[in-house]
Amino acid sequence: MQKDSPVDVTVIGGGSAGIAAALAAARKGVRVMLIERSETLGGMSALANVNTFCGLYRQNEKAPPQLANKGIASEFAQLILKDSELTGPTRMGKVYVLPHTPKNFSKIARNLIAAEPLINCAFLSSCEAIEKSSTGYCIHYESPQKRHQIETKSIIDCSANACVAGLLGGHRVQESSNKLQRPSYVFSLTGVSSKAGSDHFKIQLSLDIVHAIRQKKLPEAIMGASLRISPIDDLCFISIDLEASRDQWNPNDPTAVASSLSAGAKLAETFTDFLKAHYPAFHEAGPIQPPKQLGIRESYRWVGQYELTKEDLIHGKSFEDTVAFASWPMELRETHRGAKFTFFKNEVASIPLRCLTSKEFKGIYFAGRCISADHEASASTRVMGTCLATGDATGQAAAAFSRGISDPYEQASMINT
Amino acid sequence: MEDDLPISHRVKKAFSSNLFELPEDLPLDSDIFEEGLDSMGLMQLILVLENEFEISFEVNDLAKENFQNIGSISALVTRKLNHLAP
Ligand SMILES: Cc1cc2nc3c(=O)[nH]c(=O)nc-3n(C[C@H](O)[C@H](O)[C@H](O)COP(=O)(O)OP(=O)(O)OC[C@H]3O[C@@H](n4cnc5c(N)ncnc54)[C@H](O)[C@@H]3O)c2cc1C
Repeated sequence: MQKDSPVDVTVIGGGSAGIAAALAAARKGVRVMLIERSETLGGMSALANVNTFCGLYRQNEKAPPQLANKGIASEFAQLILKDSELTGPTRMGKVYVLPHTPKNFSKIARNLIAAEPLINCAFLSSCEAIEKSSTGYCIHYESPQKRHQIETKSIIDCSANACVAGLLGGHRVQESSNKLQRPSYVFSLTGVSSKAGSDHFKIQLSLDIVHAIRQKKLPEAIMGASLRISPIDDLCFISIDLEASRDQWNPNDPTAVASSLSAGAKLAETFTDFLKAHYPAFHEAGPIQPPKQLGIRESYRWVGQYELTKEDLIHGKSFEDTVAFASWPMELRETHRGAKFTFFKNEVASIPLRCLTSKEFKGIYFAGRCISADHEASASTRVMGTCLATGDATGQAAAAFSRGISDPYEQASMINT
Repeated sequence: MEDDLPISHRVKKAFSSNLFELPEDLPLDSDIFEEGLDSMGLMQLILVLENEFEISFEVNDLAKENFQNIGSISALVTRKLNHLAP
C-alpha cells in the first residue's frame, strides 16, 4: 500500500468533465490529483470514438456561432479549431457542432494538464473505495502495480456513473432499462472518399438501407446506423445505435456490455461489407477500426441539492447560483432507430451549482454526465461541451471549498460565467 | 377524429412527436432537412409514417424529393392512401 501526498481536490475520471475540473481547480492554486481508469484522457471521446463536440455554442440558427460558456469550454473550442485548421463549427439544422478527432482532443487535454504543475495524474488507476477522514476523505485506488491511498479535502465525481455516490452511499439513480439511452458502437474507416460525406449521399444511403432491410439484405438493427466523414483527417466515423436487450439493458452489467459490444462489432462488419459492395466511395476503405469501449450514453446520476428538469431547460429557468449554461437540445435515444430532439425556448439554459453539489456530503461535487438532472435534462447536459463547463465550475467550487468556503451561493458568486 | 385532420396536419404531428418539434407556422414547402432532419432521422421518419398511415413505401417512393418537405411527404402519403382505397 502506497500513501500518496495529500491533495486539496481529487478528480475521479479524465473525460471532458474531469479534464476541465482538474484544470479549473489547479488554476485556482490548489493541489489536484486526477485518477483515470484507462490509459488516456478524453473519456467517451478517446474510448468510444465520440467525434463531435456538442453544447459549445448557443442554439441559434440565424446568428453566427456564439460560445455558450466562457472559461475552459471556450478555451477548448478555440484550441480544437486551431488544431484542426477548421474555420468554424458546422451547422446541423438549428445547432452548431464542432468536429474533432478523439486523438487530438486527448492531445490538447494532455498538453493543458501537463502545463499545470499542481496536477498529478494516475492513469490505469481505478478508484475502489472512499472513506471519510479527519481532513476530508481518504480515497483508495488501484494502479497496475500497487494499491494507493490518498487524503483529499474535496472530491469531484467525473466518472460519468456517479461512482463516488456508489462508494460513499450517496443518493444516485438510474433510469429504468427500457427508457435508458441506447448505447452505440462507433467505429472508423480510413480510405473512404469524401463524397460519402455529402448530404445527398447520406440521404440516398438511408433510403437504400430501408429498402435493403425490407428485402432482408440487411438486418433491421442497421436502422441505428449513421455516418460522418471527419473534415479533419478524412476518417469515416460510423455509429450504430444498439437495441441492447431492450428491457434488460443495464450499462453496469459487464455481461450486458460485452454482449452489446460484440453485437455492435458484428453489425459493423455487415454494414461495412454492404457499403463496400454497393458504393464506389467505399471501395478503397481500410479495415474496421473498432472502439476501445462500448459508447454508453446514460447510467447512474447523482441526486444533488437540486435536480435540473426538462421544464427548467425548456423555459430557461434562472437561478441565483448559475455556474454553467446548457445549449444542446435534449437528445433522447431511447430506441436504436434515432433521436428525438426537444429544443429550448431560449438560446441557452442555466445550470445551478446545486446540481453539481452533494446534499449529503461536504466537499463532494459532480460534473459531466452524472450531474443531478432528470432523464430528459441530462439528455442535454451530457454532451461534451456542457461537460467541460460543469467540470470547470466544480473545479472552482471544490478549490473554494478546500479554502473554507462551503456555501454554494457564495462559491457560485466567485465563478465567472 | 384524428383521421379527419388534413394529411399534412397528421404528417406534421407525427413528425413533431417522434423527431423534433417543427415550428407551428412552418410553410408546407420548407425544406425539413434545413430544419435539422438528418439521414438517420429520415429512416425513422419513414417508419413513423408507415405506422401512422398503415402504408408501406416501395423502392420508387424512397426518393429524396418525396421527403423534402411536409407538402411533398403529404402528397406521397395521399397517393399511397388513394392507391390503397378500394
Ligand atoms: C455513442 C455516443 C455518441 C455521443 N455523441 C456525442 C457527440 O457527438 N457530441 C458530444 O458532445 N457528446 C456526445 N456524446 C456524449 C458524451 O460523449 C458523454 O456524455 C461525455 O463524454 C461525458 O463526459 P464525462 O466526462 O462526464 O464522462 P466520460 O467521457 O465518460 O469520462 C468518464 C471517465 O471516467 C473514468 N472512470 C469511470 N469510473 C472510474 C473509476 N472508478 N476510477 C477511475 N476512473 C473512472 C472513465 O474511464 C472515463 O475516462 C456521445 C456519447 C455516446 C456514448
